[in-house]
Amino acid sequence: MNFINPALLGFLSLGLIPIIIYLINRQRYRRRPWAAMEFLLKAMKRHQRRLRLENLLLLLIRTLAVLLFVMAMARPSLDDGTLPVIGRTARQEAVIIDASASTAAKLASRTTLQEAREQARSLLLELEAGDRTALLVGGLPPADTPTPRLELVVAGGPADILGQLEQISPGWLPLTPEFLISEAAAFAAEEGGDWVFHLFSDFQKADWFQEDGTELPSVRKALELLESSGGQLLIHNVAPTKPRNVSLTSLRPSSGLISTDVPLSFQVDLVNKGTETVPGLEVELLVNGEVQGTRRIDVEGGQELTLGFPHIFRLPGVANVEARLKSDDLDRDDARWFACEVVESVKILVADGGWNPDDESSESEWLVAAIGESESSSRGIRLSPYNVEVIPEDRLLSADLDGARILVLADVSRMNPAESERITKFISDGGGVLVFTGSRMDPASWTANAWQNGEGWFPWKPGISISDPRRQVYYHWLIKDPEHPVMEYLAGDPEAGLGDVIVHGFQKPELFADGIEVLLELDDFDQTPILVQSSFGKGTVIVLGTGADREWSNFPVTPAYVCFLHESLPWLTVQDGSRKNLALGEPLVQEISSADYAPRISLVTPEGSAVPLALKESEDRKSFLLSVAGSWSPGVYEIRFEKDSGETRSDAFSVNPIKGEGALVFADPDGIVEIYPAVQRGDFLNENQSESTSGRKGDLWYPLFYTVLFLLVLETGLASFFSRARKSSR
Amino acid sequence: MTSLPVYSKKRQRMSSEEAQRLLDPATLARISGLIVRARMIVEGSITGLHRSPFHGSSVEFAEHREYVPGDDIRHIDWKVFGRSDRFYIKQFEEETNLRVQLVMDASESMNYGSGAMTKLEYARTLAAALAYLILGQQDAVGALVFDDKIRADAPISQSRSHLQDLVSVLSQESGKDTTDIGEVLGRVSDRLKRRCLIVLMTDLFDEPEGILHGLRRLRHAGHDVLVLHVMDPDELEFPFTRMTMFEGLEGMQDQLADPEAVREAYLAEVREFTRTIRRDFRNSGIQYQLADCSRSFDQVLREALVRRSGSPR
Repeated sequence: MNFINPALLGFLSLGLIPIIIYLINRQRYRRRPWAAMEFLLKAMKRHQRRLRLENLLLLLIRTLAVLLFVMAMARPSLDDGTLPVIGRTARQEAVIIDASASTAAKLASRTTLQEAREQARSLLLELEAGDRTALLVGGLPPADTPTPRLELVVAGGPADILGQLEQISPGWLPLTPEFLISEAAAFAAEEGGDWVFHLFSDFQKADWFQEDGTELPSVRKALELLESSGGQLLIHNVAPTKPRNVSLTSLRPSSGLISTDVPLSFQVDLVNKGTETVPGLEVELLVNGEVQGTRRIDVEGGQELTLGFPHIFRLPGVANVEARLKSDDLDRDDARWFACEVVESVKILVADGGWNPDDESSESEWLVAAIGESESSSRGIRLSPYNVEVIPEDRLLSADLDGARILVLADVSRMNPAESERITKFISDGGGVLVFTGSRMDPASWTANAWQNGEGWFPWKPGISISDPRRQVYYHWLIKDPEHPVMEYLAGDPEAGLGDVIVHGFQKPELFADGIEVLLELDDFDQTPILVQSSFGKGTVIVLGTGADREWSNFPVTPAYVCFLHESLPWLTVQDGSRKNLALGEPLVQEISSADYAPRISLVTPEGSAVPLALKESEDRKSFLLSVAGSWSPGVYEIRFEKDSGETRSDAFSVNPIKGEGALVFADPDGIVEIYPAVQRGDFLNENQSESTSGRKGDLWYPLFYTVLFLLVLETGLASFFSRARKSSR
Repeated sequence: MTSLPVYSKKRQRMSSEEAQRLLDPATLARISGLIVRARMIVEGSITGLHRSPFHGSSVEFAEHREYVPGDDIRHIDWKVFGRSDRFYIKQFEEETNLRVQLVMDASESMNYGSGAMTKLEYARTLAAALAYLILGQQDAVGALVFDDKIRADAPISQSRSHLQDLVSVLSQESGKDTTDIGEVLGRVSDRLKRRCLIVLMTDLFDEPEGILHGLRRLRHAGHDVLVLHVMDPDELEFPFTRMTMFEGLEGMQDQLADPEAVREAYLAEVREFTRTIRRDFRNSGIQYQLADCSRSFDQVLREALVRRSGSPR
């Protein structure tokens, strides 16, 4: 049993008053000598039993009336269960607030969430004392989502929930109705009785329907669970009528490798999610907080645009790039962030298997020419961030790999164990390896030391080499994965010339390691994979099954050769296991080498607050792991490392919001009701809303009150009756 | 107080209101002298009577006595009038043989009283008044006081000086013991050799069968019996309101009772009792008169004596 005013139960002791008065009266008597005792004794004997019963009955009624009155004042209600409905049925109605990112949309000066809060507040204030309510919130990260708690309504409304309601702000996540409805079902099951849940939302279409307009099975299942738990869902639409929203969907550099003095372009994708043209929209690009470019555009309804912001980094280090819109109705998708590492130059070590010191010919001359040198112009601009060093293959073992980011093996004939071990470590530490096979390749040594039965760094077991010296038999390449970043440009630009490449000779793999990606394949009978990529440790390996020169193909003389290199080399440098751009809630795990160990590490949030972090020793005890829990606020986060020597360094990563939430494509609430029959309209403005069937049997205030009145009347009547009965007993 | 003429020659009539006031128990209670009280009662009450209720009808001349208003004028001896110029009547034998035995209950229960007089005081006053009246009629009267046995008695005599003896007996302190009316009446019956009028003044708080038996025995012996049932108004009305511990007298148990709750039942018991004794007394030829201690003496005596006048012997 629950009580609204449990403190009043202390007055139950007042029920002793009639008993005390009765006992006192029995003790307070006069003494009187009496001669006619015989008459008195006879009278007592005749009526004693009846008198005793009458007195006890009246005493019982008076005591009961006092007790029930006190209990009625304490406003009890019984748990639902076996007892039938008595008296007024208390309502059990909870509110669910959609605080997803889309509810930050403004119409006039009021956001969707503010409208939802206002309507929910009005509903809560309609509840009466004795009713039961709760608050559920969706669209917020778990840490910010209040736990639904039951509140018994008192005079003035549910104060706690009203207070919580005012604290809710739009989050950055979409609404997941299935999770929210399941949470409501669990709550209803735990609390018992029939519950009505009022959902105040803008009902984004993507949250409730599949792309083809059919139901989401997960939502239906959650509704069934709610129904079985005694719950009912009423939806209240608070969506703005004509949403206007331009959304930034992507911010990315034109090149995966960013280095100083090398021009690049930051591509900003945006889309007008509304139907009307948005004129004069300003888009800014900021680098390290400073505006580097502003574009003012008109965006038609539904139009998608990509804006390019050119930029040159002059200093190496971690850079924070931000693109943002100015003045939009929904601020949740008006900005995107990109954290990047700017390097001075990228050293590429080329091991040339065809190096001939006599004529200085090499396998890699085409390669080096295509890569370009990292030389600045007079304007301080470089076209290539790469510093290329070419070595003969026999110096591979002694070459300095520490400063290199990429190792290119151009028709290296043999691979000894030491060399393979060195390459293994290089890749494992995050280095990228680009392999061009060729006629010199010794399958046996490569198989033994690089392939290592599928455990090595080389992604396939070399088989025979196939070539036609007369070049009468040739093959073309077919793009297997056109969406791969290395292939994306080549696949999208026919003029890149990939289709002009003809291959006369190639290494035919016998076996492939697990997890490889095939980017290109030949149009031979076997559709031999000719370009594959694999991950090994923290690094990446790309293998082209033909040579880097013109011996086996015309690839080097096609435009595709340069494009290929300038797409694959950056790809190899950024695939080093370090992540700098995360999604909301995505955790960050970085491996910190012993050399980079710092005892004091802090995470600076976009809001400026500093959170201390700690390193954890890795299992092999050779490095440390830095773990940062998923962040739920978008922006750029800085990680500061401070060593005991005072030396500091910084790293950064960005967290971007989920793209789809800004769509502001709302579902028709009637459509929701039609698809999900368990849902009903409960719109605040709808005067014909269906009556709530919520209630909790056993609210005892009224029956107790009427019982007390009945007892008072009964006591008066009985006392009068007993008195008359005595008078008439002649 | 000087000599007490039986009747004052200059008897003055009192108004009924004055009589009521003077004969009210509360008023008489302030008069300590029993004889005075008796005189006031008798003279106040007899004033309204034209004839004595106590009279005989024998033809045997016994003696003359001076005429008093109310006497039967047929009995005036005109010869004496001719000789003395004064009126005298002839008393016949039976008239001079009126013998009254006053029997007064002086048990503990008679000691109860809620007003100016206890039942005992009231009975005592009644008895004194009767004695005064009877002696004034030159009849004989005796008195005895009893509780569970006869405590004091004065023989029947018609001497005028006997009044003092009677008052002395009636004034005996008692009211401390139980009652045994039946036993006492038996003894009274044994004592009385000649037919008498037995006037029993009691609250009848005894075994009804015993009482009736005793009274019937007296009747059987040829005596007339008049029972003056002395009751206190509290005993008749039970007016109490507060919870009361009623302390029983004469050895009766105490009883805690809510008077409001038992009043009607109590009164029903009283009514039933009086109805029963009235019936039984009537059936046995015993005259019954309720003497409410709150009522004036003359009213009680009038009712008793008037009834007696009309009652068959």
